[in-house]
Amino acid sequence: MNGWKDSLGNFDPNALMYQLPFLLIVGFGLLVLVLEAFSKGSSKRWLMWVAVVGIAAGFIGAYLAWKKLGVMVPGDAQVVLDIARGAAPPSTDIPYRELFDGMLIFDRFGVFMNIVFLVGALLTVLLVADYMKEHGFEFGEVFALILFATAGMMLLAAANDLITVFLGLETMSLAVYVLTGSWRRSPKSAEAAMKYFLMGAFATGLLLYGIALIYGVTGATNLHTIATEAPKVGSNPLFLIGVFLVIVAFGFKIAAVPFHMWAPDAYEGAPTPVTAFMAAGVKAAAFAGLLRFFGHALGNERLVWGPAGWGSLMWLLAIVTMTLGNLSALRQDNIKRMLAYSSIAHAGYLLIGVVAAGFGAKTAQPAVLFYLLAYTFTTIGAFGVVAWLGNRGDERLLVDDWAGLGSRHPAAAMAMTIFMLSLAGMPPTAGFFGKFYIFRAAMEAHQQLAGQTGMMMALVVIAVVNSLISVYYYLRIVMAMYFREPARETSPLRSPAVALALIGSALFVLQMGLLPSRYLDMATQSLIGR
Amino acid sequence: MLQSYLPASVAILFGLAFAGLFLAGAILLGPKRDSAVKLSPFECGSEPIGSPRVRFSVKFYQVAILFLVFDIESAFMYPWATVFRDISCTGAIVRGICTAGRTSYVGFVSMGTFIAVLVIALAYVWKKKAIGWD
Repeated sequence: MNGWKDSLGNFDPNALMYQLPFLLIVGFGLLVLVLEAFSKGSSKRWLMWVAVVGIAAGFIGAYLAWKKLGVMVPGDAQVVLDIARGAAPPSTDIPYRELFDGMLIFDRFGVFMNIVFLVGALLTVLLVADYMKEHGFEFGEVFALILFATAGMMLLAAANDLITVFLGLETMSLAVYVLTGSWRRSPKSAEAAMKYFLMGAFATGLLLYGIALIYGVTGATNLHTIATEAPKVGSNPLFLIGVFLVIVAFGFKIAAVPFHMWAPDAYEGAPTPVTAFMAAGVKAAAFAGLLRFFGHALGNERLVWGPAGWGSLMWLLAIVTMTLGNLSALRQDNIKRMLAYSSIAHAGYLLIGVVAAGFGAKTAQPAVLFYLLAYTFTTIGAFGVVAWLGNRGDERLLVDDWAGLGSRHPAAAMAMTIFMLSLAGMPPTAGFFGKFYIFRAAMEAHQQLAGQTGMMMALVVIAVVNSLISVYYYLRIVMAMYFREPARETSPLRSPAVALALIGSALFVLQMGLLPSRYLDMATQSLIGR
Repeated sequence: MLQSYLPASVAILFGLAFAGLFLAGAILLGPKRDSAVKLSPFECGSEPIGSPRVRFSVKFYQVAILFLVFDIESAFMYPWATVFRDISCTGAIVRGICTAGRTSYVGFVSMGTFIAVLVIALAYVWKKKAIGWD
């Protein structure tokens, strides 16, 4: 009875500070759920504002956690601070904290990812409310599910153990399966949810099998213990199969070729704002997990080639994913399907970053983070314009439906053009610098492998060719909007929330394209802690 | 290492052998006098009507899933109960008693949070009338 501090025992209340964004999002998710059940009235649209307040609180929590976690101190092997360019001086705060017996790790990498997820959730919440109303399937749980999925993503981004990787992945996926099928009267939505669920459950099974094999060989599920044990197990085939299965499971989640078959159908059938959430948030979360395990823990030369041997496999995945994604997108007339294939292609570009991080390129982690933030704004914006244009019973998904939009709705056409340019990777948009930083990281990896192999160089060349191919189908929409006569009347959604989301993301895409250094500085300070 | 499984496998073998023995005994020794009533399919003492492969009400699944969820979540309390003393006591545990003035609420609060989340879920499904049949 020595005061309240004793009653906390060994528990450090500071630990709560690091996971503040996560706790706030979970709390507000539960609040939305309770309010949904116990509130009167049929319209649940006002719950959107509760969710928005929750996400805003999440941003504040992320800011506090960011302040509390320091930058990695120079002299440490992992430091990437570009001090020559005048980046923030290193602080002496602890750069990371491992909590819950090393199950979770909190560092600025996780906080940056949390910000990406919060941006995705915020834009999705703003888009989905009036979209649901227009298409006649309003219910309030959607907002709670978006928050729960976000919480799962945050858990995945903080995972330091294969068990928490699994938990985060499942918390996120279960919520997104339900969101995919939330348009209950649409057979396509049901089909999408079914396909996504079956494929996702299959991937989960593979992931668990992989975890079991890795645990069997190394005796550990902690990412770093696995990395230290890996050289000792040599090329034990069971370990190789385990690592392979984990890659396959993540391949499903990020829709990498050849595990992408579900993606176009699921993306097309899901309600458009949910598609945006899947393309941005889910993908970003899976890449956070990939970077933590492959890009960082297993990311040193001996492991990339040797016992874990994932380097060349992921290199190959990156090439097929971007090439097949882009070539398939060329042939799509349905915009949602086209954006789905484009999202597959972008997973390919991002995989380059993971491979480069594995090969020890110090700029690779920040490059992937920057790309993910840019991609979140861009892709949710693009899907947002698609959601904005459709009416009940007429989703207007064909490229022909977009003819003449430039004269009818100049602002929306302008926003869509910005998003398309950004997806294609043209200046002055965020997508350009996203690609630029990724390719630069790949070239850094190429120099580190100097004399050994030109595989990173080949990767960059193929990626550049691919982004040239992609210009065709992105600009096809721009051409339709500006250079063709309007085919028929449009009556898009009249919604301030949707307008806010679209304008906001367009502005951020432009700002990240015109003044990227601020965001890049943030990303370079957001390294994986341990 | 495999030797530790020996008693279990012996028990399983004995179980199989006994079950087989009695089944074989019943088949070989028992009298067989079939009648129409004896050969008819048995369904809780009433006449079987129609095929069992019909569409079930989705409520069955709902009840089953809710039962599974709450059942499994309550199963988490068993491991918690076994470590409750260790996580609540900062000092040494002497003969099962925490040394004076060193107890904490960590164990209690952690499970309390878990239960609170469960209660919210329960309140939600209750209010949504997912628990009743109609």
